Amino acid sequence: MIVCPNCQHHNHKQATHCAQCGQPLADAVHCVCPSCGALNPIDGQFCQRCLTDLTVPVAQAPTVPRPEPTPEPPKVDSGKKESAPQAQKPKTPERPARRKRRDCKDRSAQREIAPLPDPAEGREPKGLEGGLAELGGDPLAGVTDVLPLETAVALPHRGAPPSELRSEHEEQEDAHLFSSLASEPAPLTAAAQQVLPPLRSKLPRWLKLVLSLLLLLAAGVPSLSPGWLPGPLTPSADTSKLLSVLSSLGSDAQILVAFEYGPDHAAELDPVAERILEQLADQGVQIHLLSTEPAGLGLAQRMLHGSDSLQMGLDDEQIQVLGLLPGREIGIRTLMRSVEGAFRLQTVASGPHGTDLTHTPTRISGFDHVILVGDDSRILRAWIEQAPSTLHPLAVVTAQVYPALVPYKASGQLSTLTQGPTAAIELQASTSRQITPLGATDGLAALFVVVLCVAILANVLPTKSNNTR
Amino acid sequence: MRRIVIAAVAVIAGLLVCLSMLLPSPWLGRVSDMLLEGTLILAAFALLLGLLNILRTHTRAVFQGPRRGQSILLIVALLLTLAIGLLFPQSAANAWVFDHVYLPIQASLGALLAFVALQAAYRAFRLRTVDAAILLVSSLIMLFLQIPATAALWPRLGSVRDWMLAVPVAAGVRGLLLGIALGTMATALRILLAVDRPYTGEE
Repeated sequence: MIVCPNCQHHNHKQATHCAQCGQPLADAVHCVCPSCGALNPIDGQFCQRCLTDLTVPVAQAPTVPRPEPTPEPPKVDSGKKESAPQAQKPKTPERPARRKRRDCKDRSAQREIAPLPDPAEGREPKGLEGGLAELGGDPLAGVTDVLPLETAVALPHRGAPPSELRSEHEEQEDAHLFSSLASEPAPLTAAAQQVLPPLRSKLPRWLKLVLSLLLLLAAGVPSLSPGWLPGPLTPSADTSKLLSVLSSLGSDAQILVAFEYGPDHAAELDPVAERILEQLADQGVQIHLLSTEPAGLGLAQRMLHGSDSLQMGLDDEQIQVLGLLPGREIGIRTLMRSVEGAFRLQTVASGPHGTDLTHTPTRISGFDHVILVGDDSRILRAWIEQAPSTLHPLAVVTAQVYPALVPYKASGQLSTLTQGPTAAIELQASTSRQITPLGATDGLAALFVVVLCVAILANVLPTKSNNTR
Repeated sequence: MRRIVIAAVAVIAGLLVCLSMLLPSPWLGRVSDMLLEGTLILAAFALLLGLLNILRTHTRAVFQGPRRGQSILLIVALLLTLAIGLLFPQSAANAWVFDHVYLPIQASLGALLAFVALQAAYRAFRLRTVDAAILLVSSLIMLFLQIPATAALWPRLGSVRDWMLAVPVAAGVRGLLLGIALGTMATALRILLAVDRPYTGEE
């Protein structure tokens, strides 16, 4: 992508003229490095090939040094070294971080440069008198084809012929070449590695193995241990409120449940979703399921077909699968305006028990509650932000998304906000169902131990990086 | 001329939807609903176009590309799943594909993230800077407080966790949300004013 320097319009990479203002892009979007001749974007600060600072004015760059008159340097009186041509010293490219200091140095160097001999005035600095006398006169007398500094700098790059002699075809070829050169990845990668060196080398193999074993141990703790951190569970305020809301529903209540998560977080959210559906089934309420993702809908149907307790507790007409809501945020917006309008565009899948949509409210306000079970903060925020002010969804989310939704809970847009694993075990304990070993507690505790071990290992054990540095 | 027409249609449609949210006009509401329903239809057709594009790309790769086997496998799996889903939408075969192919693959990819996160934690927990120390301490505290059993150790730990979530975490997230909102508004304004025209296909 090429940004036009005239109108800032974004053009295609192969474009030779700006699509908006017609400005030619070939000669305007690249600049030539004064040090190595590489082509760089015109707004670049450093050369992609040699890291030369491109923001330094060209007149100060050492691209056109003044030619030496003789191979041997002129002898200068030791006491008058200050007036010697300090500007003749070749400048080495410096690190980008010292750019400001280098600018200051350049300015001071400019002030300290002795005035060059001006033949028109016939005056020369005293410091050069001895050397000039040995050379037998003006050292530039025998040198031809020497351009003044300003003229040489103003000339185009040595590889480019004068613009008036180049045909349009040649210019286009050059533009294409410039574009390919400036966008070549290798110099940029090398330059980036020089500017931002890698912090440290990779972990040693044995340490990776230890960390992986620790993590596997943490993952296996809930199934291996019979509750090695048992304790009385006190449900959080949000879980208690969620449970009280679910318990207070009558058999004529209409509940909309959105499955907004995928298989990668199914292990985290499936248990709590199943507990909620079981609780709703016990209350005898009408349940309507939907998802904005095909995977979420698949998980919902899998839960309905796979859970024995759900199949035993659910009545045939109690649950309806509305189907997939396409369009993500747009689909949610349409749903908030009209449920019928959102789903008449879709082939409505009949529920697992042969029900249809005749009992489904046509407006979102017709539902008593909306329960969001999700792992995608963007979709969940769309649900919350587009919901009517009278509708306060109940959200059960992953631990990863939970902090992102805390402000919505604080502002009252969410009625409850709970995390999946803890809510599952708290609901399980609160409903006095068969309590398995406290898997969630064990899992989180094991993860805490693993992270603690990682922190200790990271700061105690030496690694390759310590040795190399 | 073509770009002008496309830009004009896009700007007018965007302004109508925007105005329908600001003005209580039934006419604007109906127009906005119509446009949004059209977007849903387009989104559904975009899925179909994506499917056709994948088919075309991998069909070409079967005849020209170096990795023919993978392309053949993709096409066969795609057509087979599509046929099962269309012909037998409520069948056990459809559920089998989801339960035994799609779900394990996605779950495995999600599980791999744990190892990557652990390695990243190892790199981030090196106490070389003050930032790393803050990150380490806050991570350990939050993780410890997330364990439900910690409330049994000391009941006030739960209130400490609630305070941390309600004040520092919520403050940071609010800042992020404000930034997202401002960025969204700026992007929407640029599109509404036709400064950016992503619908024309220009980069």
